[in-house]
Amino acid sequence: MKKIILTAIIITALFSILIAQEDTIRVSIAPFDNTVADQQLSLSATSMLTQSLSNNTKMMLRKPEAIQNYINLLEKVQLGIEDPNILKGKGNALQIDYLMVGTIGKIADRYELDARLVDINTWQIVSAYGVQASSFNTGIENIAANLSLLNKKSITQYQEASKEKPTAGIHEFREYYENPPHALYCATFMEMLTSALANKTSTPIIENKFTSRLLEEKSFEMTGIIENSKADQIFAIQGIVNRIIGDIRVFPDMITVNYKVVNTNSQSIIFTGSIDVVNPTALRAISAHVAKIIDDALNNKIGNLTINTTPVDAEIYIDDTFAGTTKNKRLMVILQKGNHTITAKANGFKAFTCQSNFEPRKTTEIIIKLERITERYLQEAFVFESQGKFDRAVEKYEQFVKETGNTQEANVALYRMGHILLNNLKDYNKAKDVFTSLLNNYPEAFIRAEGYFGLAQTYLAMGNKEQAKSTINYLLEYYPESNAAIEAKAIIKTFELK
Amino acid sequence: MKKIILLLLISFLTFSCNKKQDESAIVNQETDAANRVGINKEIIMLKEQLIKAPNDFERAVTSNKIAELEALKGNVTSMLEYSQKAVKYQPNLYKSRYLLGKSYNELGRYQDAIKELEESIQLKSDFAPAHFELGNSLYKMYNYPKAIEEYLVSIKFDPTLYMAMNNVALLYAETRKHAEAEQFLKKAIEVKPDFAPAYKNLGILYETRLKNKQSAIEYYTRYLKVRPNAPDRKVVESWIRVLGGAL
Repeated sequence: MKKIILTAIIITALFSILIAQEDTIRVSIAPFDNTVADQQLSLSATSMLTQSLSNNTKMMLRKPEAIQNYINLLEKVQLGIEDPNILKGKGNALQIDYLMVGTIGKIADRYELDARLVDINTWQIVSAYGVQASSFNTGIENIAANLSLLNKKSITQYQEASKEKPTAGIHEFREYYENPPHALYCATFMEMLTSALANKTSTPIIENKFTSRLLEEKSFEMTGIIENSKADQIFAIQGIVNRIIGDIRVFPDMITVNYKVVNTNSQSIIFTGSIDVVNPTALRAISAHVAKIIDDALNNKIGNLTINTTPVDAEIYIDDTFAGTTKNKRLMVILQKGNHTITAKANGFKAFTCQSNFEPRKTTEIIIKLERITERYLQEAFVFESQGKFDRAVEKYEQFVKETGNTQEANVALYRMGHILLNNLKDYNKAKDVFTSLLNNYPEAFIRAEGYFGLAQTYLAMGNKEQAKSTINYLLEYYPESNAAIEAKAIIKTFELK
Repeated sequence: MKKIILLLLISFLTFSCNKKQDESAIVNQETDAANRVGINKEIIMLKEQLIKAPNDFERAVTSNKIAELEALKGNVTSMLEYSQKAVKYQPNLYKSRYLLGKSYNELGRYQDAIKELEESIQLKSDFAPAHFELGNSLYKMYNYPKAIEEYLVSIKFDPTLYMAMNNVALLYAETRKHAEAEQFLKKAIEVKPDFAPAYKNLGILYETRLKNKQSAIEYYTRYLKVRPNAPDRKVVESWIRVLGGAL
């Protein structure tokens, strides 16, 4: 009986230990990176945190010395000597599940400390802390206090919740201006943004100490353009859907932070943003703000639109802004959620406009078949014009413009109509409206110059010499090489408009 | 006990809320302050001028100025918006076409960029920045021979365009014309002695292509000297060490 009781006690004890272990966070703390000149701080950060957490019953803390080989490997990865992938999947051998990484930075006499707990197997950040402190010790104490609140359950819950979500990784932030006469902010800002994104958003973030080293560093540096690197491809292989890049530009009285999100699958820029700051110590708050904007955009605002058109080289306008052409068979754009007006135009085809509603994280596909412009009205107008039946010609031109909308063909019709109204029908008010409407369509330079010339002639016919003169002067000044300008010069002489 | 827990909970929530308020208050405060200084002050003034502009040309010129300032700041969205406006108001301004092309490059819309930059060049064939930017678009489209051509044209029209010299050198390196690559990188340094990327690129060229360790060490070292705060300092130092150089 005693034996049975003893066995039961042992089993219960072992079971309890196992359960307790399951609830324990197996972690080690890596030496902090340091952008401040004092290298001693890196070691201090690790030892202070190790000491502070050593009595924490929720944590099973492995001393950094116990995983020294791994730390050495991490350092080599940081230097670009080893492949970052070598860091993955080492959890069991190291007897840890998480690694605490961090950075010490300093901006305008204030310490900027960032500490992040990453899953040793995936390098996904499971918890992050970023603090600004007037002293190094206060900052570390603050981080330690936050760390002591960690528990395995919340970490597991977070990881479960983020399993299906597209991940993001910060790749790089660059100082835009060479050797500015002040501190450099990019490295510290990148740390702040990583912590903020991991801590305050629902987007799963892969640690930047892993992502920023994903590419071979010994590659040439192009200027004025981003290199044709294989960054997107490499990020996509790692399962990272969104790559975040940016730059910081320092001006004498302000700092501008620019950021872009690149979808690694489509290799397209899906979101850009820019924010200005006057006080560099506000960069921590700005990073939190930028993190929220990026997270909101990725999760709630951005939808994909794929447009296929016939013919294949149509111009697409979204909310009246040129969005690109479907030259390569289709156009993929990223849109804010909600209703948008899509217009497709192609020479020789009627413009097509539709409304479409976009939902975040979904792809809406639109197939547009443009209808060829029947030149019937235009041909009829030409015939009537040549027969001297100007009323009928104008009528047909109007029908043509109405049918084709704002297209290149419509501009030609407007131009012809204006001339008939001016020269043949002497309907100057209507001619003025037609030329003005032509100019308001903002056609290409040639038609535009002709439009101004027609308008000037109309003003002249109306007896408005002042307006005629200013329109001709405008034409001569800004379209001096056009035929319209040459003809306008003759008018100036004839009517003594100078 | 319940009271204590409740009190703690309230304090925690208040603290969290305050923190959030603090954050957005700082952001608002900073944005307001930034609007009152330097470039932003000028942009706001120009936007007011744009509303009052008497004709399309003035509108185009003012929009163009705003786009130029936004380009300086790197605000791609605004740069695109105002260069598009400028082109709409006056289709034959080469600078607006150039800025629009540059915006498209920044957004990764290289086909659109090429179209606008070619328009710009058609309006002013000796405008070196448009040739440089077109070289960049072509490079991004992996059309290296054409990109080289455009970079060379840009250098012909502006012999101080050190960025074009750097880029053309790297394309020469990609096409195994190492002597030309070396020559253009050295020329870039000659034109702008503090142009750090050229030193690093020369180091890489010597190490990986020309197998000249000593010169590689020399140029990596000079790179670190020219860019003392280089974010990749540790990495480059390790390259020097691996090559047997002393720091």
